[in-house]
Amino acid sequence: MRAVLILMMVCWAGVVAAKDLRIGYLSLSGDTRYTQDWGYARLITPPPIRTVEGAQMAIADLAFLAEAVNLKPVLDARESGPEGLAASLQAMVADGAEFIVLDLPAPLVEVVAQSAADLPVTLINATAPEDAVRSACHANMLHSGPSLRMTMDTHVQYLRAMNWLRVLVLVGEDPSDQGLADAFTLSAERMRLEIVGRRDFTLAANPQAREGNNVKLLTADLDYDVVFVADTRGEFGRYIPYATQLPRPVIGSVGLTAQAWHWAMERDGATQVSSRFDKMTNGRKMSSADWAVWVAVKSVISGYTKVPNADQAAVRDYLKSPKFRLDGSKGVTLGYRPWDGQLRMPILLATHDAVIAIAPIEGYLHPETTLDTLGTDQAEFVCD
Amino acid sequence: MNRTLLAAAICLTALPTFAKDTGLIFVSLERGNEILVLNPDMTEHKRIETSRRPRDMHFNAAHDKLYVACGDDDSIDVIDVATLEVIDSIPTGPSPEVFAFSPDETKIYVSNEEDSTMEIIDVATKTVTARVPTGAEPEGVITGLDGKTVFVTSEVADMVHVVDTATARVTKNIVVGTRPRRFIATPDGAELWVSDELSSEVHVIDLATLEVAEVLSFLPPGFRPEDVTPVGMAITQDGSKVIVTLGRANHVVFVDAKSRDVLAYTLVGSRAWDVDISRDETTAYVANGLSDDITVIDMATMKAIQSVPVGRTPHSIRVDD
Repeated sequence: MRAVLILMMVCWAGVVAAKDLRIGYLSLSGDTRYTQDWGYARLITPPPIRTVEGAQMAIADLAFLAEAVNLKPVLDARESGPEGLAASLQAMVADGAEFIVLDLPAPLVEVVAQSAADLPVTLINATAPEDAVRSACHANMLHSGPSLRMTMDTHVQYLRAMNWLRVLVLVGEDPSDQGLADAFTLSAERMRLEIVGRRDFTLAANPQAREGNNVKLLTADLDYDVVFVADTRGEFGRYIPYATQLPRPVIGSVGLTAQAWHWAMERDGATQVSSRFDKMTNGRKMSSADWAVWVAVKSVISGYTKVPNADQAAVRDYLKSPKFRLDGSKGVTLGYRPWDGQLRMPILLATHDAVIAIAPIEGYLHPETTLDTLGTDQAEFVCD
Repeated sequence: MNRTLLAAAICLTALPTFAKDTGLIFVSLERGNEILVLNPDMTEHKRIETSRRPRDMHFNAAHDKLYVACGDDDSIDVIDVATLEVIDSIPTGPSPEVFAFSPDETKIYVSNEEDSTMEIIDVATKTVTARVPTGAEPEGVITGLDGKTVFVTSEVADMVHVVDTATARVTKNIVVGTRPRRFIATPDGAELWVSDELSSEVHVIDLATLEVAEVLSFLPPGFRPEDVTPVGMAITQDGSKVIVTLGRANHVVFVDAKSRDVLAYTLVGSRAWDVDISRDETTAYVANGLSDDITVIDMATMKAIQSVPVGRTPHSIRVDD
């Protein structure tokens, strides 16, 4: 039925054949960010994240719009090991992809960006939150997922609003845990929160290391309003809530987390996005990473429909201009910041099954748009 | 014939023309799973339990029945206006949100926001006679004056689909602003107005050419464009004045429909969505989705005169006068 309809619309639109709009999608085989079964006894077993499904959904969502302007979005999805990424990217560009969405960890985003510096292509980093990827200032790169700084600012705005001002920071052994704790500390100090302590935890059960592996000891001997846990692998953090010496809320990697998307968001058409995703993936809940890929592809198709006959550089300029008003189903219009290519967006503070607050928290003001109270603002942004 | 035209006018403007003059005000409560019925003095008359998540509502031309789309039970409930009881239920596709009648009331056109279709339902047999695929998240539905055309918005595809009711096919797509929501048509059949929630605009479509004739934008003092999220609209019977709810900007705007001049911005409740006007056009009622109340506006002064708490998440308002 739909095929007939689309065919009919194409006929109606004229005799011109629809122009292919090739959109690349590049991911890493065996990306450890999504395969959590390394956890002991494989206790953490969320369904594997395949963000390519977000890209597929965006193309289905915008099929009518694309047809109306004679465009035919074609997804070129490739996956490769770390060594093959640059070659895959170049092959996609050679095949005509003008925009390529990256679902890669930060170090590999860098590798790919360098290999694409002189190619006629725009990259959209969807899932590497590190601010260094932004301040690297790749001219042909946009970022559709929130930066670490944006999610940390979200926590800090909420703590300020709740008047929970003294924070105990617990940090894991993974280097990315240190990075997360550093990012939080930076945001917290900007808003004059007090970090009353920063303590390292370890998974080792050695009694001699009990200062680092016993949650009661880790959270004893000082007073605080809230515990921030930096545990990107999730192996220790999940044992912290309800186990602290003082009865205090836990935020960060566990407890209350800052997310681009959450299935429990039920306003502003979010439910429809989540349920379309559920249906398409046989019941998988849309994650923040899925949303970031979905919104990246949605940006590309929307851009090409609004700026007909433009090349990727012109479309990229349009996406970064105030004229671009993107609907990410979060109730406000989204757009890419001209200074660092970052998508500005509201960020959710969510527990495992509820959205508790949405930043920018009411009361945070900004001369241009309150969304720019989250992340590195223009005045403070510098390229590395 | 005259009756058909009048019925068409009802579909287009959502303004009651046949009156029983009960003066009752119906408010659908999306999270309350009920319809609150208010007396003309705004005191509570009754609460009618409905299927889950009641949203858009329309009277039939005779005004003896009120139809309510219930999103979480996939049905359109039918309420007897005399007894204020649910007397029937019409099954629909997943998550019906907004609907319109054909001018002769034999058909219902309903948007099913979760499976990207507009269904055509035969009212007498309660069966689906056609499913028209639309862009994702179809919402606003309105029947053209002649009944040969139905217009439906797709919130995700940013367009208005023009549907031929005889063939149940989309004959044209009109690209409008970001996240198009609802419609009104001018009573003379010349223009169709579409609210664009996320581009803070109203697109005016020329019904003769089916092209966008004009794009209107509104900005209450002290707000930024991104705060302005237009959704619901109502037009006076003479077609001279339009009220547009501005959502997060917590205002409605009164617009001169001909000159497009802003006549007033009126402060209402939080996230103002739906609006309806009483038949004598002395009063407008605005549903505020985030403050769980409705605002009563005096049409002469264009000022809010009363706020009435109604229950969880008011979606639509219809006046039976």
